[in-house]
Amino acid sequence: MTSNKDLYSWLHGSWSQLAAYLAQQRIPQSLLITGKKGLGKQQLAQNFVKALLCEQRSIESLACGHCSSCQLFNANTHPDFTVIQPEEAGKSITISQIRGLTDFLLLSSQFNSYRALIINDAHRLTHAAANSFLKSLEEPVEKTCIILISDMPTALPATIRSRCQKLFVEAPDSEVAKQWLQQQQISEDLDILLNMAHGVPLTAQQYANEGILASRKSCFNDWLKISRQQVSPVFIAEQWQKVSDSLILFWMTTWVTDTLKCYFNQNPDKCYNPDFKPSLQELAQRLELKRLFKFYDLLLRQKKRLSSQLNKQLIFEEILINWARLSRK
Amino acid sequence: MKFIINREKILSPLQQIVNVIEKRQTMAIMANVFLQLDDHQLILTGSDLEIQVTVILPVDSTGIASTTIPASKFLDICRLLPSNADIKFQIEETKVIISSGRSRFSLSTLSPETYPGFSETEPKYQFSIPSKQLKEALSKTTFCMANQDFRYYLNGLLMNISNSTLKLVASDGHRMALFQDEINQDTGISNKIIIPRKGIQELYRILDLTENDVTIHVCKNNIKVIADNVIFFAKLIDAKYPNFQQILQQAFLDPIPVQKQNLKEALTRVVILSNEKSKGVTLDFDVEQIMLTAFNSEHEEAEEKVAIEFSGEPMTISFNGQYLIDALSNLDSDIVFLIISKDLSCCFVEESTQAPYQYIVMPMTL
Repeated sequence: MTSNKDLYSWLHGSWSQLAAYLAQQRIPQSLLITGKKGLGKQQLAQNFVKALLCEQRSIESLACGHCSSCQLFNANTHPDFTVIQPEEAGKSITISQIRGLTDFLLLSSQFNSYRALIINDAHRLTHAAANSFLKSLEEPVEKTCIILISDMPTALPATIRSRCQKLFVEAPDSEVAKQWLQQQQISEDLDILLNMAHGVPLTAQQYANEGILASRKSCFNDWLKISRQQVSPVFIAEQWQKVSDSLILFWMTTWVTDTLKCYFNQNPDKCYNPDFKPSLQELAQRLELKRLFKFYDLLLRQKKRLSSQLNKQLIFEEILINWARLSRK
Repeated sequence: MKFIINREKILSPLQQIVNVIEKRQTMAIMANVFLQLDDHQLILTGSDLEIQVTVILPVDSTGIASTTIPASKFLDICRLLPSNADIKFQIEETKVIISSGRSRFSLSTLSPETYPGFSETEPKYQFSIPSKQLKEALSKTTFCMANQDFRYYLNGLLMNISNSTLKLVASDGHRMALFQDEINQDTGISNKIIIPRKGIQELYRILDLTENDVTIHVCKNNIKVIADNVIFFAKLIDAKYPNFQQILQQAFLDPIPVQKQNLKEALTRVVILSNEKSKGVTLDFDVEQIMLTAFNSEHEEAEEKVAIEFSGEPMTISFNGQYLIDALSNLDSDIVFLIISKDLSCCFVEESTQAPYQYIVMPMTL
């Protein structure tokens, strides 16, 4: 297997597939790289493009790093390579950005090699932009490689998905992830960090650096206090505005599922929150199962609403008031 | 590394280069001029990744050095120095110091290794043509190019070489300009390339009206034109041009000779009351006259008769009046010939059958 030292250890499997494309000169004209956020998909795509454009690629399909093409690539000035992504985080990729690609895709390439395009967060393409991009995907110009990257491929139109070769980047085993985190000088609460990050090491690292576990703990205590009727849910909803809303909603979902698991005496290893087990067990004994499931449904509904224009504080007030009522009896 | 150059010598080449560089850049280095000093030569390059212009100037310096400096600031400094001032340049590791008289400027540089210039590749073929001939050919064809058409191959000019014949074709789907002439040398090759609109416009600016030859190198990915001390590169449109020969292979009616000036002036007047968008004008050919009529959505009408030598069957055909005016304006002779196809599907406007230029206008239904 070819290895690429520039890549995270868990990407080596995906890399060997891409390296094989290069070795066999079977360059995909459009490739969709999917996988959870924080696995290094962009890094993988960039490495592939760099090797594709390199003038002196090694036998292992690695970029040489010193030819003029690699120099231009490293300086972000390679004329036959461009990246499209939302202009601001969380915004869409507009049709004017896609139209701006016309010259890049339809004029001859500057060097006598491939030209490559990476679309980051491809699921952010607006409906119109995706449709206007279809033409380029469908009738690609010779020696062009288009790479789409998305962590929500189902949000892409089927017409786009069906025109791409697919590469799924898997999250690493927890052992590999833990080993990598330890190499990054992170040694505490690895299991919980990885649970909270859906097993994605880079996200776990970010959580560790931001001290997310402490705020999770304080939120959990608030949540328990509401359940014990010690504090007003409206007050807490206001307090929680300081924490990322999608994160806190995810935490609450895990607390509820773990309570349900405790109810059915599930194996504690499979819990998201082993550190909160005593409190969760106490909740499992105290709460009514049917209403707990109803609350779980409410959480799932609100998850969808988070991306809408609704007032976030009101969303959390609704959740927490329901939670307080659930615990009242 | 140092060199001195007079303001008047560097100013106009620099303006030519800065013209090419786009104001809004995604790559910082593309806003810079690539500056090379190579044994008595100063080589300045500017590019927007689609086209590139390089100018070579003689200087009194023997060194070899290269760097890139911000183009618009560089131009402003040279432009605002007093005329005939000698400008002294000193290229250092991370900056360029420009001094003249009592002024001194220090410009920051970006590494020349990361400048994505066009690479010189082995040309597929090359030929030379007098600058004047090419410039005139461009001026008489380029106005027919499409602008931002979704048929992107029309947003450019077709250059067709077959051995010693050069053809330039521009069309927007409604009209077409055709130039055909000999280049007095055997290339032994038959080849078609499409040069994008931007490249053609810049090339037109570079060419002058002298008899000096310019050399054209056609490479796989680009075209390179060497005109005196200027080297011009343009990328090509990666597509196939529609088969324009088809239109020439059909049956035509007898050519109708017309006084160009009379027809043009009459058309210009009649177009005033035509539909603002389509500019539709109807031509009724009858014995010894053409009747031009136009009307618009406000029920206003215009008509004018133009005397001609016509003895064929009467016929009626409508055109975009502006397209006819454009074609007539680009012809030089006093008498022009209208050659209409038998099925009234197109009209050729030309000086004579031997002239290098032909214009073709498609009719419209009113």
